Amino acid sequence: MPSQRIEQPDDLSGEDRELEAALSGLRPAASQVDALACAFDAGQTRAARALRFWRGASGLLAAMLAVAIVLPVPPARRASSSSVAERPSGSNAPAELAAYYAIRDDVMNRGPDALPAALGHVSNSLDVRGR
Amino acid sequence: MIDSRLVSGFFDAHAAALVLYARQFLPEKVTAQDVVHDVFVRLIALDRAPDDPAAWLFRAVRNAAISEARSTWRRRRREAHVRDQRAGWFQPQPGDLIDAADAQEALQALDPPLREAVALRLWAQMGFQQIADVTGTSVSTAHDRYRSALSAIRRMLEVKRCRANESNNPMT
Repeated sequence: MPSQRIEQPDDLSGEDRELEAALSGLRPAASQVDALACAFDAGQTRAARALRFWRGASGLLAAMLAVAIVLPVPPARRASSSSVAERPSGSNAPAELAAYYAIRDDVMNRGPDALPAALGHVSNSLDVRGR
Repeated sequence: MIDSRLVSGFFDAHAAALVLYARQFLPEKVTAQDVVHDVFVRLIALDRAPDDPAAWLFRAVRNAAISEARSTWRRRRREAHVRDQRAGWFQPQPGDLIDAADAQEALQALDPPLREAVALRLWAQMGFQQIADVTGTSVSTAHDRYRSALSAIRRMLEVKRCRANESNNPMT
């Protein structure tokens, strides 16, 4: 900046221009502000900011961990859908479907032996209950 | 953080003028230096250099100095006068065309806005557009203030010179 030439206002009188030149020749007193001290303080401030961030982050994680440990684990939810289809309620199911459900229930209760005779050969080859 | 060589350049170019500018708001030199120090600390901590570093520095010093002046106004009012006498604003040199103490006295007698315009213009080497940006006024206002300040300083110095002549030659 000091090397830049500043524009001159046109409406200054000759006396004001002389005064301007005289004043601008005065040198400001030495600043005694230490550049190294500024740099050191800036580094310290930046480091302190980073330290605050990590302290906050670790505190938050610790709090979350504590909550996770202290809070009781909720019981496992039962599966919403059974692997075995529900038998439709009411009597409006088709007759074939009703027969199927009847056979299925029998097989589930008594094993493959409950299968009708026409399907008996299947029961001989299957040993689903390890018998 | 900004490149240290860049900051060093800003420091060499502006530190003394910034302290002088801060002293337009803060009579105590030490406080003015603290304000400039803090502003440089903030500058170094920036991720990238401002577009107009000089304007940024002077605006930041202005804001910080005004804030500081408000917070410690009562205390400083008691102490300012005494401390003012100790530390001059300028460094007197043999080739000076004007007496540094007279100039300081005249400047101190000005209204703060006028004084501020002179300080930015003459010792921060700012154009009127930059002065307007820093002080938050229009260019014409900055210009008027500067012109009024020069006229006022000239009148004060003439009065002082006349009084000095009268005291040196009481019979004339």
